[in-house]
Amino acid sequence: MNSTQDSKKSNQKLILRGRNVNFVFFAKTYKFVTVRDMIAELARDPMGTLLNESDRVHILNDLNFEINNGDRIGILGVNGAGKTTLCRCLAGLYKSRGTIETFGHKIRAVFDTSMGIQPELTGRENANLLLKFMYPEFYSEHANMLQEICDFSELKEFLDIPFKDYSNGMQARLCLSLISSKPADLLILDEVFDGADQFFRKKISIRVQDLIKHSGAVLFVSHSVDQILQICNRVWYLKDGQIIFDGPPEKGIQLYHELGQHQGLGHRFE
Amino acid sequence: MTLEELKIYWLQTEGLTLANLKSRYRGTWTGFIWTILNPLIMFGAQSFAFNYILKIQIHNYSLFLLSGLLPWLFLNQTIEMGMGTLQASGRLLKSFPIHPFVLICAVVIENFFNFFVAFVVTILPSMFLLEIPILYILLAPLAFFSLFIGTITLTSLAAIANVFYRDLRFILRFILSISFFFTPIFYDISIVPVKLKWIVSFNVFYYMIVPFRQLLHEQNLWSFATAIVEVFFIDIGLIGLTFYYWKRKRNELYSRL
Repeated sequence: MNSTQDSKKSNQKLILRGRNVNFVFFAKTYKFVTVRDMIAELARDPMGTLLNESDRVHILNDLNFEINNGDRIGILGVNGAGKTTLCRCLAGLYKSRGTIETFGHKIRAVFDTSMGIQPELTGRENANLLLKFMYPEFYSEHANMLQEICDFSELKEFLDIPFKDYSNGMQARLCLSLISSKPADLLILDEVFDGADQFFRKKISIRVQDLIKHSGAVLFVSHSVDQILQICNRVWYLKDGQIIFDGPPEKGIQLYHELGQHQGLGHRFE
Repeated sequence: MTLEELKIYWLQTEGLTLANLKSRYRGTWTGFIWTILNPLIMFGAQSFAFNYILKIQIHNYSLFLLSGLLPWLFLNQTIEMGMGTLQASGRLLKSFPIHPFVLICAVVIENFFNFFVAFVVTILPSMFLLEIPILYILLAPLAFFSLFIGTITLTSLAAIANVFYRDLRFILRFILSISFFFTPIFYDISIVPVKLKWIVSFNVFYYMIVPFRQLLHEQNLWSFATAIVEVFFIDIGLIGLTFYYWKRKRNELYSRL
């Protein structure tokens, strides 16, 4: 085996593998919003309430996939296709059926960029707290990371006012600076560019692209085909909880345009 | 769960607890003083009513009441406060990799800190005044630990269920209010009629309070050991129930947040 083949093989190191990944919500959960509703329903139809099979909503339907080192995968699909649910399953927030193997790789996922943990505390204190949740493995570096994040955000004296008093743009500045601080083996970014003003967006785009470059693999959810084209080398197109396309971005985007305009929310009640 | 994960959860809980305390008491000592004064005022009012008006005949009634009332207030206030934690942190839980139990533990530890300070300020001096043997003070961490574990599990169960049922908060608050009268806190279990004792035997709150009472008021080592063993098994059962409920409802919980 020559060096080119060696390099290609090491570059294709498996980061994550999903086999028969299914995700189901039980619609019964939404039937009773209060204890009173539940008691009333139990009184009306006790056997039916207790024994009836509840409606199931199949969000992800038997997915099989592999994510390799170097993959920058854009996930496309209309609203309700299952993009965010898939990302949350991979990030370990949701418990899916089937197997998701990570082979010991660190996964970092970001789903919101205008969020503080304690709105009463200052931006700096919130950033310090978020570091503990986003980067627990870099505990010894937190002090340096915090300084770098604060400098990058350019919030200066605003860093020491309560987070609840920040505008959406300021919140996005701080969060984006924080989430783009360190690369990961698998980075999941779910519509994370929203919120920042256009001047900061240019700056953060460069930083996020650098982060993507240094991360093992990236899953990128966006409705912006320009961003997908700019960042990704592979696209998954999700429809009704299934990956119906896995291939080059150009073809995936073409399919997105062709199918997207005729496709509403998937009807997946069983 | 690996040791490394446990360490991470602990660091996150510690950070969040300190942030909660800082956020609550920033720039004001009155808030903190109130958390100490609140149980003391409750104790003063109840002690006056039950001791001097109703004339309950229990030796050293003040210590008897205090040893039951402080753990009860901690349990009650923590469940009430922690019940809305997950509901209020929906966006946060869906945005960042934060384990819901970290949020609940932070609330319980924060309240536990207040309870511990109130305990040290009120009970410890009376223990020295009454010359309670040092052994009983050294055994107190066992009672604290069992109460802490029980409170975390009960708060977790309430917090998970509260995500699904919007009116649970009001119902549970009502149940907690009436539970005060069905739990032997201001009266002794010996005055409960035999035919009604089953009510107490199904009351998990009571089992968590008994070790404090045996240690501080009764000062009976054998009864204390029995009470600790009982509450240990209850805690194990509650831990199992909490994890079962969490595992069963996890995905629906995130979808409802």
